[in-house]
Amino acid sequence: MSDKTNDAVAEYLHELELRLTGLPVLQRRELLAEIAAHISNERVERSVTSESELLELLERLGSPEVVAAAAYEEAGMAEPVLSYAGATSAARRPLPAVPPPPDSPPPAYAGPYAPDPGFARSSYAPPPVAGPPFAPPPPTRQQDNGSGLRAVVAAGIVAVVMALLGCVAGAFFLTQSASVDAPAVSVVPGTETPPEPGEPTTVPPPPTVE
Amino acid sequence: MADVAQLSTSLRRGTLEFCVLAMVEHEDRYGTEIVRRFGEERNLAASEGTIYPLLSRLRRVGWLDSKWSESPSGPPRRYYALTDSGRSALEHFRSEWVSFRQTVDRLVGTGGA
Repeated sequence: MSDKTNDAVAEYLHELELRLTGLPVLQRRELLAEIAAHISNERVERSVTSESELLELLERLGSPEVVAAAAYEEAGMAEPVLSYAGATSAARRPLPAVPPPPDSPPPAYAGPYAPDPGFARSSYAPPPVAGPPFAPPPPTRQQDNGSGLRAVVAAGIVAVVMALLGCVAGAFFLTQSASVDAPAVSVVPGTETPPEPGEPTTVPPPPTVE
Repeated sequence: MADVAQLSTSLRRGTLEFCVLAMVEHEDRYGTEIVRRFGEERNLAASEGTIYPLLSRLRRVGWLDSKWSESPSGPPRRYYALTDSGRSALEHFRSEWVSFRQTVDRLVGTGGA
C-alpha cells in the first residue's frame, strides 16, 4: 500500500518536473522541494494513508499541468510549448473531460499576461523592490505605457473608422444617385402598370349596374 | 461556465498576492499552512499547488522572506515572513483597494449591499 502511494507521489513529482524544464534551475528545484514538502506535510498532519486519500491530496494540489502553468506565469515566462508539446497534447487526448478546462487557461494567459510584465515581471529588475517609494513608480509607469499605447491604438482606430466612413459615404452617394436613376427607369415599367390600377378605378362604374 | 471561471481568475489576479502578504503580516507561517487557509475560502479557491509559484515570486520580489525550519513532526517546513517592503506594499494595496472598491461599487451599483 505505502509502496503504491509512494509511487503515486513519485510519479506526480516526475510529471511536474518534466513540465518545469523551461524554468531557471533554482526556481524549478525550489518549487519541486516545496511541493514535495507539502505532500509530506499533508500526509503526516492529516494522516493520509490510503491510496484514495493520497490521490485526493494530489487532486487538491492540482494537475502537474496546472501547477506548471502557474509557475511559468509567475516567473513571467511563456510556457515552453515546444519542449513538451508532445506531452501536453498527449495528456489532452486521453483526458479530454478534465484537463482541458484547467489546461486551456494558460494559452489564454498570453493575453492578460501583458499587463503583468510591467508590475510583477520587473521582479528581475528591482522596480517593485523600490520598497517604500514603490507606490508611485510602478503605477505611473503602467499608466504611461497603457495610455500611450491606448492613444496610438485609438488614433489608428479613428483613422480606420474615418476611412471606412468615407467609403461608406461614397458608396451611399453612389447608391443614392443610382436609386435616383432607378426610379427614372422604373417610371417606364410604372407607366405600364398604371393601366391596371386604372382599370380597377374604372371598374367602380358598377354604378353602371344601374 | 467558462466565463464564470475566467471572471474569478481575473479577479484573483492582482489581489491574491496581497491576501498572502496579509496572512503572514502578524506571524510567520509555513507554506502548507498558507495553502490550507486558502483552501477554506471558496471564493479564492484555486488549485493548492498554484500558491507555491506565487510565494516564490513574492520572495523573489523581496516582499517575503523565508527560512526552512525543522518540524516537531514530519519534514522541515519553510516559513514565510513579511519584509519591510512587503509591509509597505500591503499598506499601499489597502488604501488603493478601498478607493478602487468604492468606485466599482458606485459604478456597478453594489454600494448599498
